[in-house]
Amino acid sequence: MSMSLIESLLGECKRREVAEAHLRLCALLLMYSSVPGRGVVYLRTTAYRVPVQKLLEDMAGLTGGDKRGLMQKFMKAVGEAVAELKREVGGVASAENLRRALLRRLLEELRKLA
Amino acid sequence: MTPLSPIKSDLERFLLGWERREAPPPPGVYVAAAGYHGRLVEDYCARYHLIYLVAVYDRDGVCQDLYQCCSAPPPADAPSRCFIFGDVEWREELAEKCRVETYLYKFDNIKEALMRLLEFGMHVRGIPCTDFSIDVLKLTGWCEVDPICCDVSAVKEKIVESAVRRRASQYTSSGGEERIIGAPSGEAAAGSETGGVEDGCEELIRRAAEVLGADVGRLKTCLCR
Repeated sequence: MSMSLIESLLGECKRREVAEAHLRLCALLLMYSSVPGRGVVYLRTTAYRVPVQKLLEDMAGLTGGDKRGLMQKFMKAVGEAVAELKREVGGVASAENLRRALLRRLLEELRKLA
Repeated sequence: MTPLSPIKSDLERFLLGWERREAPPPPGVYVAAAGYHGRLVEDYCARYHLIYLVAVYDRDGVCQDLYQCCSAPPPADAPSRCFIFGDVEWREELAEKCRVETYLYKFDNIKEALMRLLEFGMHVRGIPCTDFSIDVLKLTGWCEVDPICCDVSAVKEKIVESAVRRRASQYTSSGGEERIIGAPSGEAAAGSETGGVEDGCEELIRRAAEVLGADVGRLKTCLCR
C-alpha cells in the first residue's frame, strides 16, 4: 500500500466522526505513518502520544474536553495495538517487520469495512 | 529486506520438489517489493540464509537447466522467463556476507507460477498482499479474491459514509441533543430549537446528510445561519 494512500486515509481520520467511528483503523494508520524507513523501533505506547496530539490539533472544532476524551480513546486503541504487535514482533522490532505487521492489521480492518 | 526468522517446517513443506541450488538467484523479475538495507542484511545473514524462490516459466518446454534457462529470452506472453520471490534484492556484495539458497521450479502456466510465489510470500513469509506487484496480483486473480489488496479507494468512501451514518444515528437516538461540532453549546441548542424532533426536521436533516455524505452537525449549522 502506497504511502500516499495511507496519508489520504489518515486525512479522513482528521474528521471527528471518522476518528470516533474507526478509532482502531485511525490509530493503526497513524502508527503506520510513523514507522521509520529503516532501523530498529522500540515499541512503546507513549511514543505515539505526540502524533496523536498532532492529529487532534488538525481536527476542527474540538473543545479542550473533546480533545482530552478523544486523546484517551486514541491512546487506548494505540495501547491495544502496541500490545498485539509486541506479542508478534517483540518490544524491539526492525522497522520493516513492524511495517508489515501493521500493514497486515490495517488490511484486516479495511477488509471488515469493504 | 525481510529479516523474518524462517519457519523451517512450513518452508520445507512448501519447497518439496523444488530444485535447490547454493547460488544467488538467476536474472528475473521480482514479484514483491524487496528493498535493501545494508545493516539489516548483515544482521540477518549472521543468523539465517537468504532464500530465493524462482518460478521458471517454461510453456514451450525448452528449459533443460532451470537456472541457465532464466537467461534465455522470455516466451512471447511473459515479461521474463523467471519470477523471483526473495527476502532482499540480490546484489553481488551479498555473496561475501550471506549464505544463499535458491529454489527453482518449472511451470508451464504463468498464473500458476506466480500464484505459488504469492502463496509462499503471504502464507509462509507473512508478507502483506499489498507488497506484491499489482501486475502479479491482477494476473493471479488475487484482486478478485481479496479486492482490498488492489484497491482501497472504495473502502475510503465507505469509511466516511459509515462514520456519518453512525453519527447521524447517534444524533437521532439522542433526540438531537448532541452538541454540534465546531459550534459552542449555545449554538447547538439554538439549532435544536429551530428543528426539533416533533416537526420531523431532525429526520429530514439526517436523511439529507446521508444522501449528501455531509456531517449532520455542520449541515445543521449551515442551515441555521
